[in-house]
Amino acid sequence: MDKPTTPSPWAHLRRTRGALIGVTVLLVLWFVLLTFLICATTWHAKGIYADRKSILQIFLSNGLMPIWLGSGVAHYHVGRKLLRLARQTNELQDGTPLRPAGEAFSSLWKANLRAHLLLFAFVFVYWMILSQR
Amino acid sequence: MTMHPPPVDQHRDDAEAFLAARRSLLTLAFLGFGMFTAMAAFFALGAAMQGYEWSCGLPKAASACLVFTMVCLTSLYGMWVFAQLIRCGMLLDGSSRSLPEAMDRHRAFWTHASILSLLCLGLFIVWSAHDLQSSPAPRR
Repeated sequence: MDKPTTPSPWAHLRRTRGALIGVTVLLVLWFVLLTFLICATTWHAKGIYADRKSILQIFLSNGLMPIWLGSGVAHYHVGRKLLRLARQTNELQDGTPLRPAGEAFSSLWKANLRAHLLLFAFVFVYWMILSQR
Repeated sequence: MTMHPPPVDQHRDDAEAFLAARRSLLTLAFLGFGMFTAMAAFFALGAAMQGYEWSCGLPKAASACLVFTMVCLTSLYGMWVFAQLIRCGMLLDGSSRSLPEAMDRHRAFWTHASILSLLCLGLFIVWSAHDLQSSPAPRR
């Protein structure tokens, strides 16, 4: 009787491609939501300051601005690496070397850790500023 | 046409390329797991200590109860998702034998991470709307 065969790493990596693209789309959605939040709070503050400050001044002095910028850099960095791994998995054929995919995998996780640490640092600074007001 | 299996050196070379990610992957996995554990504990304890009405008799208490329950369930799901990533990191030991299972866990992580991200996005929107409705108007 034939032994049941477990899927190879190639098959698993190919099946990951859809999720990687899905997560990239969600990253864009998160960034759009944060941008919307920045615009909404700026619009809200515009009503408070009336004509004393320009919309650009209010936008630049928005407390969420550093988080928005930090997350923009982090999202771009991680999104690029996610798409690189998705591209590598798309090109995989059974038996071909896994090294290019492995390098994209390592590069993704290193970038992901750096991006999250950067984001946590920005959120922590924002939280500290808020708690001192 | 017959396909020859890849040589042993190539297997080891492939597995070592994945091994380079182990430290970053495990750091992020433990960070995520810890964060979701803290979130589940914080919201469950907060709900219990602040005395939210679990009978959900009033409309406002019902919405708060629903949001708290959803956050707790999402946190538990997040813990499970990051546990998959921890398992994946543990399996990345530089040998080609454990690579298929590690990649299976990695696939499971990304599949469920996209669902988790969507849930968190929804909860964030609901939470913000709930918070905006209940917060007082800012002073001039």
